[in-house]
Parts: sequence; structure tokens; C-alpha cells
Amino acid sequence: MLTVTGLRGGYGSIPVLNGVDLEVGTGVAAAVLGSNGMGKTTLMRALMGFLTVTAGQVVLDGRDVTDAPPQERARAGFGYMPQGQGVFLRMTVRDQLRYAMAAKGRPAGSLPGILDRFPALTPLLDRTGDALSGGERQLVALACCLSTRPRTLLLDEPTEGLQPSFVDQILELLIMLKRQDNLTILLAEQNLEFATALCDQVSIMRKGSIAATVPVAAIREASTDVDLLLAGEL
Amino acid sequence: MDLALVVGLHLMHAIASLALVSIGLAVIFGMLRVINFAHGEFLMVGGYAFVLSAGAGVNLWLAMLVIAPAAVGMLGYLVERLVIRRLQGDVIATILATWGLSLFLVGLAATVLGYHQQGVAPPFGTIEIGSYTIGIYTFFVIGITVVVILALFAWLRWSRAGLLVRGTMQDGELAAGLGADTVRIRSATFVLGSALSGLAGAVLAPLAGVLPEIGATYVVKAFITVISGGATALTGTTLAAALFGLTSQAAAFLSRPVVGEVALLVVAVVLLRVLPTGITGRYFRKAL
Repeated sequence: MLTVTGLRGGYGSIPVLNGVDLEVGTGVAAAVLGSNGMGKTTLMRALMGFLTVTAGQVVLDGRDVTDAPPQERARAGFGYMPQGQGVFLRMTVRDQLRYAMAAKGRPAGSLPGILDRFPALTPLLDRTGDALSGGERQLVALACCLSTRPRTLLLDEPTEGLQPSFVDQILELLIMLKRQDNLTILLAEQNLEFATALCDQVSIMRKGSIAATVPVAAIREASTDVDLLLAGEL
Repeated sequence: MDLALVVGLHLMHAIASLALVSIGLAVIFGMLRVINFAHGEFLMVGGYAFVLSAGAGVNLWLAMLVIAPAAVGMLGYLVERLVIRRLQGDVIATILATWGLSLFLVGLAATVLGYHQQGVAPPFGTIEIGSYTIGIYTFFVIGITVVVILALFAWLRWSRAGLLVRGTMQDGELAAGLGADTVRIRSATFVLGSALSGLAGAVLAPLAGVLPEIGATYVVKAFITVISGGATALTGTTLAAALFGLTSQAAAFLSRPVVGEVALLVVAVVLLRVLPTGITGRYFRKAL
């Protein structure tokens, strides 16, 4: 369960978030949709503690983490996948997975559990991050993010710039994980198709706040026109 | 033949000394990207910690291998907590603050300890190689440098702490997002670099002596070596130390010591002109 109330913040004196209100129930996948510059990535970074918020509150599973540093949020149950292929470029895939375990104080040895879920990574274990393709990097980033079994995933445009086969692969994986682990997911996305395939609710972000939240069913039945919502005409 | 052996030993000793002087900075500046202008004074404090405790009757090796690194490690802990951490990566502020710290430490040493500190003679005595005499301590300096570098490589490569340090240095935000306590890891790395500087200061003290201003003779060479090494701090610093130690000592043999110093600078200038990002900017990019 993730509850965000009146979140404000930005970079230096430039405000980007102008009071974000959002609620994602346990086991629910929610998408934040919006075009570039509307504050999606800033929202994700603020939720993870990478920028100082000036007002508002972030509550994760009943715990107020508004002022907690990133590592504490990660340990409180957030799994964060940053925008743009978040892997260590000069580290092998094996070490990245071990790192993800060690970072949260778990024994760094046990990779089999992760590799069961990500068999595609087995042949890549000895490659360094800079020798991976974009899709492979996203898989590694997702595997690292999931390796310590977080309860709430923050995914910042996980399919940006990927070829369709990888998009499908990541989508299938996320749908399976959501069902198996009852994961709560907050997805920042521009791709409506991907968002509606994975999520239960879609929020439209416009100029640093949530303009509207609609159930995905309403979009599927075409009773709500997302294009008009995005354009700010509804 | 004897001459070749002696010359070879001197070359290796020059390389080892340069690597020792630079290794702490390779960790603090090469890995952490903290410009520590007081690096030379960390070596000086290590030297004093060794000389004073040995002079007070402490076992020589305990003083050199334990007390000196521990003392400078503690100094590093305080400096990181009270100064470096608060400046939050502001480069200019860090340079000014550590420069100030450098002046303070020199002044403190000069006031409290003065300039007539009794040194420690190199242990082990000497051996004869043909008609040449060489201190056995020279072998010790070479040996301990090799051990320190190999241990550091192994620690970074295989230990869990080394893994945490590597990732955190590569991408601090990614590391924090995965749950790593980057503040603590950076602090511990700074302490490690400080302790290595303390060890180096102590190992070199019997040969170089200890004076309040001795840091100044170390700090420039150390920065040149680490910068020329490039992004991959440990491998780069080792390679740069080998290159510079070799050329400066060879030039010193063929001419005079001052020409050796000049040769080091010339090679460094040429190297950075050809490889602006240092040796590991282009080669050995996947090393540690």
C-alpha cells in the first residue's frame, strides 16, 4: 500500500511536483501516464528519496518514509528501477546481482533463486554492463531490483527504447510477478498499450500533479478517451 | 652483472616507493573522487606515529604495521565525518578545506614536535652484492608494496565489502536505490585510504626521515601518479607508478637525481597529452 499526499518538490528552487496525490493499494498496479516534462521521473525520484520534497507525505505500508534516505526506502520495501537502463557499466552481471543482495545486507552468494526467474541472464553472467544491449540491461536492472523481494515496485519507463520482443518479455514477467508475489506496482510510462496491459488503474500526470485517475476497465471499454485526458481536454 | 642486479633493485625500489606514496590517494581520489590536498600530511602523520611509538619502546613492526595505519585511519575518520561529508562533493570547497587541513597539520607538527625528531634507522642492516652494498630494508619496501597492492586487488575483487565499494564508486545513486548505505561505504573507503597512507608514511620513514614538511615532497608525485592512472584507480595507479618510477630512476642513474624528477614530470605531461583520461582511460578498462 502506497499513499502519496500533497507531494511537492523539484530541483533547487525550480518546482516540478505541485502537490501529487496518489494511492496504490496492495497488489494493485498503477500507471502514471504523461508526456515528457510532466514530472513522472521527478515523482519516481522523489518517492525513492533522491530529491528533497518541500511538502507532502509518502507512506509505504503504514510507514512514513517522507524523510528517509534512499537506502532506507529500499529496505522498507521499495524496489526501484531507474529510467534509462540502471546497471553498473563496469561490473559483470554476476557481480551486479550479488551487489543487489549485499546492498541490503543479505548474503551475496545465492544467485540461483534469481536465475530461476530470469533464465535469460544465465548466459550473460560474465558480461559487463557496457557489453549488454538495452533490453538485456533492463532485464538485469529488473532482476537486481527484484532480487531482494521488494513489495512495492517503482518502474520508471522500463520499456523506453526497447525492441518489441523485449517489451513483451518484460511485460509477461511483470504480470507473472505481480500475480505470484502480490506486488504493488507504480509504473511511469508513455506507452499506453503497455500500461493498460499491466496495470489496473491509470493516472494522468499533467504539470506536476495528478489530473485524473481512471480504472483500466473504463479505458478498455472505451468509455474514457485517454488521448483527450492526456491532452488536457477532459 | 652485479651492477645490473643493483640497478634493477633500485628501479624496483623507486617503483615501490612511488606506488606506496600513491596508493592511499588512489583510494581517496581515484575511487572516491575526493581531492585530498592533505594527502602528504597523512603520510607525515603516519611517519610520526611510527617514529614516536617506536621511540617510546613499542615493537618496531607493531608501530609500523598497526599503530601508524590505525592512527591515520582514525584521523581519516574524523576528517571525513567533520569536513569531507559536510562539503557534499563541492570540489572547490574540498580543495580549500583539505589545503587548510594540510597547513594546520604541518603547523601542528612543527609546533609540537619540532624539527629535530629522532628518526628510526632502517632495520636489517645491509648486504653486499659484488662490490655494491644495498640495504636489506630495500627488499622489505618492495615486498610490502607488492603485498599491499595484491591484498587490495583481492579484497576489491572477491570480498563482499569490496563488491559494495566497487558498485558504490561506479554509480552512487544506483547503489543507494538498491539499498546500499552509500554514506557509510564512502566513509569506510576514506578510512581505508587514510590507513594505507599511514602505512606508507611509516614504511618510508626509516629511509626518508620524518619532518613536518615532508608531505609536500609526496603529494605532488602522488597526484600525478593517480591522475595519470585514470579512471580504474588501482590498476592505473600501479601502472603509472611503474612507468614513472622506472623513468625517473633510470634518468637519475644516467644523470643526476634532479634530472630524474624532471623526467617524471616530462613523461607525465606527454602521457596526459596522448591519453588525456589516463592510462586506464583507454586500456585495462575492465580491471579494478
